Amino acid sequence: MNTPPPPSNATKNASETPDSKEVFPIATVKNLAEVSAHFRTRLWWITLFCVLVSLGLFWYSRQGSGELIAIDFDDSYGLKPEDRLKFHGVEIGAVEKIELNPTRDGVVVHVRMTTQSRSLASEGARFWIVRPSISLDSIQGLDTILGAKYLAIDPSPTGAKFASQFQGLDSAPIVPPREGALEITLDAKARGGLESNAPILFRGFRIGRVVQVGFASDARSVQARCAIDPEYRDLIRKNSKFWNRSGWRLDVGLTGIQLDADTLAQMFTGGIEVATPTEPDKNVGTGHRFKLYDKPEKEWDQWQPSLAHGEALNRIASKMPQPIRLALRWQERSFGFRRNQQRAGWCLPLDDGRVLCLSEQINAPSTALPDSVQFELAGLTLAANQLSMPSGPVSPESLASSSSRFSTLESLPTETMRWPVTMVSAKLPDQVCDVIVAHPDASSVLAIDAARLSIRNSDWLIDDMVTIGRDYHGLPVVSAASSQVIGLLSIQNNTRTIVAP
Amino acid sequence: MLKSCHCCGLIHQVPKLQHDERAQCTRCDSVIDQPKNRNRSQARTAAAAVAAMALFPAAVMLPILEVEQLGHHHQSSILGGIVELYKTGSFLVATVILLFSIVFPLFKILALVELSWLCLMRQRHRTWTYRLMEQIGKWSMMDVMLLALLVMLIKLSGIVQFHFGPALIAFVLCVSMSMISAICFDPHAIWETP
Repeated sequence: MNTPPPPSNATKNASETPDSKEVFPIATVKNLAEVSAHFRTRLWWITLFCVLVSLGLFWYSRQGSGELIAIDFDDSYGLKPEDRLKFHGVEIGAVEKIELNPTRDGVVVHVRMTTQSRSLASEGARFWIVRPSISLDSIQGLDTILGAKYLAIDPSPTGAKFASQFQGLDSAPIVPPREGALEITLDAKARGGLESNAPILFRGFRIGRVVQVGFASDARSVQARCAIDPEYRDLIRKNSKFWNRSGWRLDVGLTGIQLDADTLAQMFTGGIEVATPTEPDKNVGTGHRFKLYDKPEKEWDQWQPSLAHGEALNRIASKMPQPIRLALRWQERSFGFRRNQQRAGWCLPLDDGRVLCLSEQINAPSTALPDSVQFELAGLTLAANQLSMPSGPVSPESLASSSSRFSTLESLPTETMRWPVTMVSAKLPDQVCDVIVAHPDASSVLAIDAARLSIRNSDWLIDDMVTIGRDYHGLPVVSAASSQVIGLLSIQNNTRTIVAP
Repeated sequence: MLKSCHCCGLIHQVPKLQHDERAQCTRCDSVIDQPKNRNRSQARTAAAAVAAMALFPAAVMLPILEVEQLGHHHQSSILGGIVELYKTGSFLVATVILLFSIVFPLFKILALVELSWLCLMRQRHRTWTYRLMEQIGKWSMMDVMLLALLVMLIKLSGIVQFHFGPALIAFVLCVSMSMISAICFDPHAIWETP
């Protein structure tokens, strides 16, 4: 290379002193600031930024990965690494690897949970592999026929200890019957294609499901444990008949071929049909046993019982009376001052134009100043003379335990729900029955069991066990059986009574 | 001093320049020499090359692409992809990718860092490094790979779902930093001293 020698801060600069015989180079002297200036540029800030980005990305990619858990399965059913663990359809982890267990009778699936979902994998959590299945109540896991299998989790109640070792389930866990469901047992001669989760149908409508199918203890029959949904438990009576509806029926006749199958799922799994006679017997309790017939008898199809289905609290809101607020305001003179007084409660507009309420709601005490009495209902403020009171004097003592019907001169807003007069009974029934206290807010509707009621004089007394808010004063009470308004709720100094309408 | 214009090739006599002057080509007006920039180019090259070097591990080792096809997930980094290719037996393809997207780019970045630290090297070593970098740099295909990724994204977007991983940010930054570094590098600095 024919290039000049490289001079730099530390290189030999061959400049000799004139008198010197020895050839010693003199080191180049450089200012330190000059050396550092050599590398000075604003681009170093970008370098710093890049280094931070690099470190940040490494940190970020470590973030998502949380705890590693191991789940034992008998079979991996085609699960692969990188397949997901899902809860409510949300990915909360990924399969890291799958290997045979040491005894070689199953597989161990290692799952990396995300950091946020750590608490789900605690003791008692159940895992299963979701795969296509048409053996259950519905066709499930259809998305896994083409796509990837995935793991599903049924987490344990919160607060359990974290665990890293689990035993996987072979299939989705049996869903326990809902709270309040009616559990009955059906005895059948043979299984007849029944599967757990098969539907129980009433007029083709699903009212429950088979929880479990198994042998009776002596193997003489097959028993199906069934759960009827709580809102339909009234449909099952002592004289109800159950029969096995084995999927489909093919009728080939002169008119053609007729295929009978209610739902696709039922076609594969079968189901149980139930009918209740036109004169239904008493309700049954949990644990009742029925015989499961092979096929229905002719007249079972003709049965048409009118059953009030739906649990008391699950009644459709529109079928409940819609009470409205009623306030009575008046002024009293005490110690020379005028004092405002009021009585707030509820009233029920009826469809004959009148309004049903407790008598004390419209009768101001005698101490009230004349012309100061006002009523407020449905957004209207009415003076006492705008109300047409019921005729006949009412004794002050019985005000709280009697009801009145009044009509207003000014009409109530049209959107006010009016309860049919025919649905108001004339008096309280002779026997106490299950009742419902209607409330415009569906969640505040109250059910009172007949056992909590007792007859006192002309009223029904409510047991102290029942907690009722003070603001329930004046609400209409509906019989659970007949859904008629049978009375009004009156709350007077801790005695709660139902008075006749 | 004689100097050729790197744009049109005309050879000029370049007088000794002051710090605040620059020499231009008489024919095409390209800058032939600018003493002020000479130092700065070294500093810039160094800064950009160091930045690229810092980003390189993140770009290669972190997952760059997450493919989701009919529910199947697959996450892969560049390095992981190469390892997988080796495992499935495509040695040739794996080697080609390993060389062109990891070995050569890494070498180029390291060479740039080294060259920008000129003062630490002897000149012979410097020119040798420069020649090697010129040759190998041609085969450093990181930028091309980025383009390939984008093409794949457009072509396959209907069939499979793509999610880019964290490495993509590092990758893009790394590519741009090494490009900036290469642009800033002035080969004259190897022979000429300030």
